[in-house]
Amino acid sequence: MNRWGKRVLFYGGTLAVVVLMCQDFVRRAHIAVLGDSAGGSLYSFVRTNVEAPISIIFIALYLDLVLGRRHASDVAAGDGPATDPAPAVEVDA
Amino acid sequence: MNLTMRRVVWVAALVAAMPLSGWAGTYAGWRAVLGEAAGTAMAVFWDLQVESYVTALLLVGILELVYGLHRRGDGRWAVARRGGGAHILAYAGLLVLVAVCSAEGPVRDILQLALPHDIGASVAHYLRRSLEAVLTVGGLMLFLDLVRPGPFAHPTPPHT
Repeated sequence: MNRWGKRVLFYGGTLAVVVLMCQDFVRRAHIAVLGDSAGGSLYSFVRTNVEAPISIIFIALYLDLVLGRRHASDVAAGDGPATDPAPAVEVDA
Repeated sequence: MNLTMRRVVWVAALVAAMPLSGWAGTYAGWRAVLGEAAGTAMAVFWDLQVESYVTALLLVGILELVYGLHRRGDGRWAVARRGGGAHILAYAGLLVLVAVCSAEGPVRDILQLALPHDIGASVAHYLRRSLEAVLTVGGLMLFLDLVRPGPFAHPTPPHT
């Protein structure tokens, strides 16, 4: 899969999670499986954590649009760490 | 568009979203587009995303300014950590934010000295709701500083 396909999968999938978290049929499914009390409670927990995927999308956009285009030369030029920078460490394959 | 402009656009969009998402005009706009029920639901949804906006702003600032996250020439992610002073400064800033965000009542009283009462109360409440984001980012920073890859973890030896 190319990088655009991966992006569509990531952003689309995360947005789909957001939409799913807000759907009434998801609440009803929780209640159907776990009962009124536990199912309602678990769904409330899920629903109040919808900030998590939204945060992920915002942060991923910054990584994609800004930091993904920031190279070591930008860092060395003072665009960010300028004092006592440790050697660059690979963090992702 | 250069890097600085990209940063400005992203930060400006999020900073603008914070007050605008709670603005009555935004609510009216959503209702005009989506109808009363769906428009109100959508407006409330975005109005409640305080933690999302604050988490994103704090986290990308720390990733960029403290850990120097950037892209290597071969496309891989890399970090160039700043010295201890920047880390201490970041932790101190987060601790100050924790204190400010926790003290909704005193912050509200101080803000209301200079601002209209409803705006002062709204800002103080917004800050209190941001506490979760500050704690999340602080916890993540602790992880990044305390749990580092071992010396032999990278680079991954090629499979033969």
